[in-house]
Amino acid sequence: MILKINYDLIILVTALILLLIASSQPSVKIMRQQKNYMFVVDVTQSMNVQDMPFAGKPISRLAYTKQLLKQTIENLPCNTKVGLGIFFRGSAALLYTPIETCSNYHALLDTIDHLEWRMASHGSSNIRLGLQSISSLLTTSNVSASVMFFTDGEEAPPLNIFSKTNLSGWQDARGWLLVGIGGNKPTPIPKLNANNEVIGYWSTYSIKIEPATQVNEGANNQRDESIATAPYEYYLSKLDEPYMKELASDIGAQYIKADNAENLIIAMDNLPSNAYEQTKLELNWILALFALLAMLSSYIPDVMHKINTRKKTG
Amino acid sequence: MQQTDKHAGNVVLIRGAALWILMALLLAWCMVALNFGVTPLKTIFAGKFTRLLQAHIDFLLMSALILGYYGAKVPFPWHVRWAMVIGAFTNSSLFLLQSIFPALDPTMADKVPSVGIWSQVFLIYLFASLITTSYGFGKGAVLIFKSTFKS
Repeated sequence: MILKINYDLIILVTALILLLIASSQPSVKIMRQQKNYMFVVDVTQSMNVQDMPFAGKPISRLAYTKQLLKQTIENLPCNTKVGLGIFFRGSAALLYTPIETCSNYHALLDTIDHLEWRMASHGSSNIRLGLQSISSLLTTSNVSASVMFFTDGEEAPPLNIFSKTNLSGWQDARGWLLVGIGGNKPTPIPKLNANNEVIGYWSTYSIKIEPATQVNEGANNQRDESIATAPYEYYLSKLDEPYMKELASDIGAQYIKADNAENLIIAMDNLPSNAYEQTKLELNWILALFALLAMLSSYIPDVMHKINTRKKTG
Repeated sequence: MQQTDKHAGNVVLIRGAALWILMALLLAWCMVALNFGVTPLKTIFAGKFTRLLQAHIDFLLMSALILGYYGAKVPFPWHVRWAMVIGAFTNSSLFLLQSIFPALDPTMADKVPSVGIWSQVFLIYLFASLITTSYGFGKGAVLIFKSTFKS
């Protein structure tokens, strides 16, 4: 009996000490692999094409991208950091550098909700220059993150031998994932006015192919409000997968067609990790758990005492 | 302390329960007096009224628990019996202390100045009470459970 009392006393004192240590919030510093992602969204006007299915009806590529981003962020584990940027013309703009998803969840979702085509100052799109711009922007901002570029691969105006930037000397150690957004059926691109109202469809005549010419600009940089007058004039757009794969190959990136958040997260996980950071591993819950286990062990019937008694009695 | 078969060796439980019920009644009268605006009591119980109410209810609950264990008529080792009686008091007294010393109440942290080392002492007391109560009532429950398998 004395043995049992002492045994229980030791256990209870141990549990008390563990709880007291736990209450001082102990932690150890560890190096942990940090997943940082930079989501760059194409906000050019071809992303307004409504050829993506969502809840049984077609929605625009941009709206689909927003849904996809929100679902992806929702399913990312805490401590993952996500930044946001937009692409238009031949450049990228950083909305913010990667921030932790769980503690900034609503801010991220709110920003995604507000993404729209009118954020683009110009209607043209040069993805090759955009890739260089994103890389340069992240380097100068000292952001270490894997880049997820959501685009339909639509170049406007279409590239020719003079305007097609050679990416063969690409140097960027970050993991890149090009995410293809759009349907496979050629679809006219809606043209919207400044009030976000559809005024018609883009005409093939307004897609100028001269090098260095900006789409959607008339004389003296005025907005070109011309629209296609007949269906045969429609400038058609679809997800240009062969071109996206070519781009991915040029920069050593991976390509995935966006279909659902689960596949996207798997592809993101497969990207090489780019950052390690020192973080605190909280020990308080571990110590509290041990205190609980110690406490529970005192409930166990006196096994040791019974064994000793049996030995003595032979 | 004389322990007879009538009490299954648990006379300390019935004594403890009786005392803590008296304590609960005392606190009930303190609450009545506070509602009548008795100034000395307002000085003594400077914290939240709800803490005093919690202490009163906790004393009653703990007493009821002890009476239940006593009623099971299962003989407990002396350390289990005393852990129950002491734990019942210390657990309830945590609320009582918070009603007397609002600085110990985390919900009043922004309204009253900190009491320094006493907060740490209170924390040790809290954990010790938690362990004592868990040990006494937990072990008592295990022993009652075991007794149901004996012929």
